[in-house]
Amino acid sequence: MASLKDIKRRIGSVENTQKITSAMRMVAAAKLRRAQDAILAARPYAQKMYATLGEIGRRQKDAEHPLLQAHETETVMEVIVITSDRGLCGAFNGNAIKAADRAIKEKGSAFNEIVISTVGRKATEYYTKRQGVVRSWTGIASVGFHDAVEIANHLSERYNAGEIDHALIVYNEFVSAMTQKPNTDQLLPLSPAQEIADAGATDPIPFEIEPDAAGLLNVLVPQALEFSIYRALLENQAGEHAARMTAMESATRNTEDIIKSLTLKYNRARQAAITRELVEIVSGAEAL
Amino acid sequence: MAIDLTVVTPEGQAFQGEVQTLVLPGVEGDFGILEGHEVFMTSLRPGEMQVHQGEEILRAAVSKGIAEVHEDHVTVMVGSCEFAHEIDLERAQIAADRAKKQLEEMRDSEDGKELYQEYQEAYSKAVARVAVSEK
Repeated sequence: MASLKDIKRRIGSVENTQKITSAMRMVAAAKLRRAQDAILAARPYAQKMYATLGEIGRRQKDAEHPLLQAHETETVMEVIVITSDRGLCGAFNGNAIKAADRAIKEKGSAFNEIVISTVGRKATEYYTKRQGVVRSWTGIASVGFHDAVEIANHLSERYNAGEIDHALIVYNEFVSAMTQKPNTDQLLPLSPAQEIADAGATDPIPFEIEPDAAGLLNVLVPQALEFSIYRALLENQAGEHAARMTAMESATRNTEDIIKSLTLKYNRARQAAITRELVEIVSGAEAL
Repeated sequence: MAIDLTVVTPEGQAFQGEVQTLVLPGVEGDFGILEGHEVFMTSLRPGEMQVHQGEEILRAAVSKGIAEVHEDHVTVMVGSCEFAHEIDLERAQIAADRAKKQLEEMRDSEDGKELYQEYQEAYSKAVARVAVSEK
């Protein structure tokens, strides 16, 4: 039987853990709110961009851009796997990595080579130990659009140079505070048909375009690629905080249970000690 | 005499309000817009945007994007838009110097052609930020 002092010490240590987990839960909740705001803030831009892209595409049936065109032979695929930098967020990162491995396995037969780039320390650690990574981005404290631009530039350079022929992005989609769903999207060749359909109508797009529609496409198509990556980064960010919030909430609940059962144990031990002492006193008195 | 200007970026709406005139960095040169301008659309290069609002002239560094001009309202869609007071001049200067150095290295190297445009863009964006912030 553990001594009274031991139990007391354990209760103290569990209480300290509880302070940490409940603080982490509150921090995650605050960060989640900010991450959700960032997702909402991106919407007007997305709508405008995809609506314009759709309209230009409709007007110019032969609209062409290197990032929209599939390469004749597809041999190399690059997969961008997005996870968080930190752990303590349940199965969040594990799910993204599992989804990435599944996508690699499924598509593996169609390509000669599959290379991986990662965002976030968890994916970087995982894939560096295995097949290695082409490039990794870590230490993004708060996602900015320039982070997405950097990744988009990396991909489009490689795509235009013919180093890669296909690109996927794997990330956790933020469905709600309780659920995050791992998603695999095709990035290159770019096919924004779905997003265009979702964008709906905005202002009528002017007929007069300067210098020409091709010039506009040169801006819009890279922007669409950048935005798909930005969206994935934002979803991952919100998902991470939501997952951590849930994980810390259940951790805090667990510490409560443990403290309750330890307190019970402590009280029993105390009772036993008192009873023992009484028995000793009584039997001592009887012996006299 | 007013134009309803909206500037949208992926990180949120950067500006929304009534302005008298504005000057935008078009790919074929800067152009000014007054109310009743011809309806048209054009792409923007990284550069300086000037907004005349009442007595004030607001300056902002914008990255590449698109401007949609209607008779009484204008929508500017750019990757980033930073107004002068949001820019840290010292950091902008450092970034501009770095971009310039990269661009020069790029020019001398063999395989620089593909990267040239990207670095050129980064450079002009950095220079615009410095210019906006200095005024």
